[in-house]
Amino acid sequence: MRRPIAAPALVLSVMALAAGIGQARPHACANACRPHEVFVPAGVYTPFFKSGGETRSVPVEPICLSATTVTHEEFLEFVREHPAWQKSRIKKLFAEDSYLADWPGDLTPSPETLSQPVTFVSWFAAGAYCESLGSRLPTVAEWERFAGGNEPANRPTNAPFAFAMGRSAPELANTALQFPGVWEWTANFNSALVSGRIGTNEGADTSQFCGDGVRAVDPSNYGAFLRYSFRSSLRGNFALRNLGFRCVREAR
Amino acid sequence: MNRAFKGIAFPLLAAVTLTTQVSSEPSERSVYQLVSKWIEDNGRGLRLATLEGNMQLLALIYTTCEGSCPITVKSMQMFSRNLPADILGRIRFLLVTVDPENDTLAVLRKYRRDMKLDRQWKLLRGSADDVRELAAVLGFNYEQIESGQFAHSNLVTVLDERGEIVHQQNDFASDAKPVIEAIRNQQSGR
Repeated sequence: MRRPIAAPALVLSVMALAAGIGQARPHACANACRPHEVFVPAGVYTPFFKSGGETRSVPVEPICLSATTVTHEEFLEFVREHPAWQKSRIKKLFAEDSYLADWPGDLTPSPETLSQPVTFVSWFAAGAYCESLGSRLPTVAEWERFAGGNEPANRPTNAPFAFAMGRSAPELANTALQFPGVWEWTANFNSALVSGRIGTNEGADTSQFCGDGVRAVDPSNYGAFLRYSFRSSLRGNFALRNLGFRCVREAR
Repeated sequence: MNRAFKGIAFPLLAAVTLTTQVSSEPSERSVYQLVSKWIEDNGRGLRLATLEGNMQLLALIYTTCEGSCPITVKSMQMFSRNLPADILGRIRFLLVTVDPENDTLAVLRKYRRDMKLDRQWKLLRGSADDVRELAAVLGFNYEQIESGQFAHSNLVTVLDERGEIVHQQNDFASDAKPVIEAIRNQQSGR
């Protein structure tokens, strides 16, 4: 089963801090990670949206993170071992018709794409993949912590959204961490509420949402705004051309 | 997530054992393929598949919500008490808490008493992961913004007898007619 995500993790972390214990688990260290993983030390995540006018700081536990997104080749191995996730067998509740749309057959990704990020995968399939390896999808807090690095001063015009698809946090700049230019699934992608205009809650459709979903901490952070908007538009069964994923594990 | 995975095996098994009752196995689009375990406020365990046979009007709520949840639940209640004769007895009501941390069974029981919810209503509590998975299936977004408070969608969902989503809307409190229409359409389609 998946491990606890955002809500309880947040509560427990806050309680732990209040009690003056454990900023990080004593045995959490880079040595806990495997060769193709990057160690992300404990840190703090500042959610893009304010809560009741307040900027929040959420402690994030240390994790071992896959250095890059899952490839076609890796996903092929997964569907071989778990036939229920093959494109001809997957149930419609768990993936829309475009699931693995670029695979001609159940076990035949295009040979030239084998080392490229697998996309056209649903949240359910991505989660099942990670779980089969004893890992899980990163939470939004974890993802933004390791991949929400500063926007470049000049954005390349040939890849207009690449800047929003992930940039290493400064302290991970010299690691093997890679962002191959796809959006990435998160465990709690369905937590962000974006409606109406950025930087204000005017114009929010109040019949749709309860709570203050649209007050940005930093309205100039366009990349973060794009990510939160994108996530809030997703459904768990979506399988999109530019949406892949990577897995994480608790560092222990 | 392996619950979702196991859920895929079940319909295959069911197809073998229930060949004469094809319509009662979870269909490919049925939410009842989720094999997560839930607990009712009365302490009984529940799998979603056991809800088969009745249509359900489903909302995700939490009991300390001060904004829209009470309005949604009150609207559902008004709706339940004023059902047109032709759909009376065809729909049940399902509330699932997004705050299992605070909404213990005792809290849910008190909520049932306070809101005067009768036996047509089920109140469910599950693990944080299972709530997140159900929400993903429904397209319901929520996030804890401070202890005990959530930002969340105001979505109500109509499930048909097999657990397929047949209607969803965000403004149920202001207009219940589309839900009645959805229920009638299901009946006429049978």
